[in-house]
Amino acid sequence: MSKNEVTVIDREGSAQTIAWEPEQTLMEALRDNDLPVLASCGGTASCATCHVFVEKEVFDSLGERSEDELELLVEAEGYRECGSRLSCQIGFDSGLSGVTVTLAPED
Amino acid sequence: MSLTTTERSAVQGLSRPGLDRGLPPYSHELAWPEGLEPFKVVDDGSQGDPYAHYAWMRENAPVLRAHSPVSDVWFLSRFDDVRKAMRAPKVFSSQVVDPVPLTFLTLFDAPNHTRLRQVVAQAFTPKAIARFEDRIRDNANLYLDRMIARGGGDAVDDYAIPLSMSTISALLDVPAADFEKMKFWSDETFSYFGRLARNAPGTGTDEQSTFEFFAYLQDTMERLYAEANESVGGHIARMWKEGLLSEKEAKELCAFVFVAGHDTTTILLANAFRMYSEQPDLLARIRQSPEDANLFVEELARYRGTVQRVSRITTEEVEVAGVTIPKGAIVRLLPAAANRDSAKYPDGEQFDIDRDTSGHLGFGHGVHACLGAPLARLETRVTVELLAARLGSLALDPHQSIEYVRGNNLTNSGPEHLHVVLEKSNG
Repeated sequence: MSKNEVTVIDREGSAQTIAWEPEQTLMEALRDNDLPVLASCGGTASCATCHVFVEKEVFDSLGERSEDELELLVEAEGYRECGSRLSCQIGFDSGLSGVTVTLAPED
Repeated sequence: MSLTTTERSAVQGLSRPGLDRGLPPYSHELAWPEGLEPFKVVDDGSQGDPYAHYAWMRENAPVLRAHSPVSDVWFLSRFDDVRKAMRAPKVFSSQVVDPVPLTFLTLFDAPNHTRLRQVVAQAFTPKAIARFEDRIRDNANLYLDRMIARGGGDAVDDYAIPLSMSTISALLDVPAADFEKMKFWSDETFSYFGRLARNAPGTGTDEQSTFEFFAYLQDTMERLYAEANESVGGHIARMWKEGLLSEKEAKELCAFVFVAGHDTTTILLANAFRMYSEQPDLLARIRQSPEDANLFVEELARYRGTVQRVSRITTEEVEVAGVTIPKGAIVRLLPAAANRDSAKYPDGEQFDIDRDTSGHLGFGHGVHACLGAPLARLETRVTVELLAARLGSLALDPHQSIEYVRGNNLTNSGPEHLHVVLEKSNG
């Protein structure tokens, strides 16, 4: 499977394109490309330090957020009902190549 | 002198001020079963291997209030309660001492926790840690060679300490030629932390030793900065010299990484030896299927994880398991107790590498989850693989019983000495 390309807008508003490898979650792709995503809990949907915003069409194409994920997101800085996701909960999908994600503000 | 069960039951009948305020009885007022001392804030030697206590607490006192000279301490032992508290850092705050006395990540809430953790986080990702695997394997083989040649030894002193010490030293690029001195400083610093942050009794020399360790680390960071060193230690040094960290923060953060990375892993590695001794068939299993070492590591972290007491302070009144914990209460979450909760893991008191361990709290949960978990997992996996590949048998030394850490840091539990008899594999 070939890798995805994702455009990331950081907290200063700068955009860059990174590679998203098939075995990675989106959080791992962000972190391993040195973006400032703390991912404190290591990817277990138990903190909100990998919070990102995705575009509406992308949001709708992803599965429902779990209860655990939603519980954390609603308390997170800048929560968007139709845009907030924990990037550790977004698995690789070749259909996501070319999307843009925005790093949410830190708590 | 301890009370008998009957005497304690009699005490329970007395009127107590706590009950009048709706507070549960103290641990020492409860009817603990014969042979089980009441659970205490500071271990008096009866809590080295605390799993019998935990089992009773989960069943009978899932929110246990214990008396200490400084304040009451509340212990949570059920999986759902511990997990929930770990997911709620705004209610269960980590900032138990204000102002925070030491730059140890475990003592901060956001935003300082986020800022300080960010400094070292990149060095501990699985990708960053993977670079150390060959070095860890070489060192592990070296320490194991020596033990096998002698027919065994102390899994703690002869294997786990040198391996965890050489690994964390390499990561920080702090020389560790003198393991004994570094081990002493590290333990003393952890005890100093325990005294400042957990009201532990201390050692009498912990403050002086800690300041010696800090001075040593400051000298080391000066060198790493001058060398433009690429290690975590060099990175912390640059943050300091560039004004992003104060001198105090830099040397204490460096000490934190060292202490946290050393003590916790030492105990987990020693427990890997222990579990092989209890289930010797696993040697052949892992020898034949080395990929199952990962299953072993996760079950080990669930079943005999290192960090057993995680300290929090409540920022508001909160109800847990039907008990109201007041605002400002010191709460100790017991992840190792939670991990054996059969409501989450059926037959939780059994070590079974084939079980579903997902969601275990052996490396914590939430924003304070263990920063060094990828490193601890790597060191333990390498150990589990090597023991299986190289040993025909591994048994506890029948002449020497396991000695447990007394936990001056009031955080970790596990073996301080674990003597084993080893026979090499014929293969």
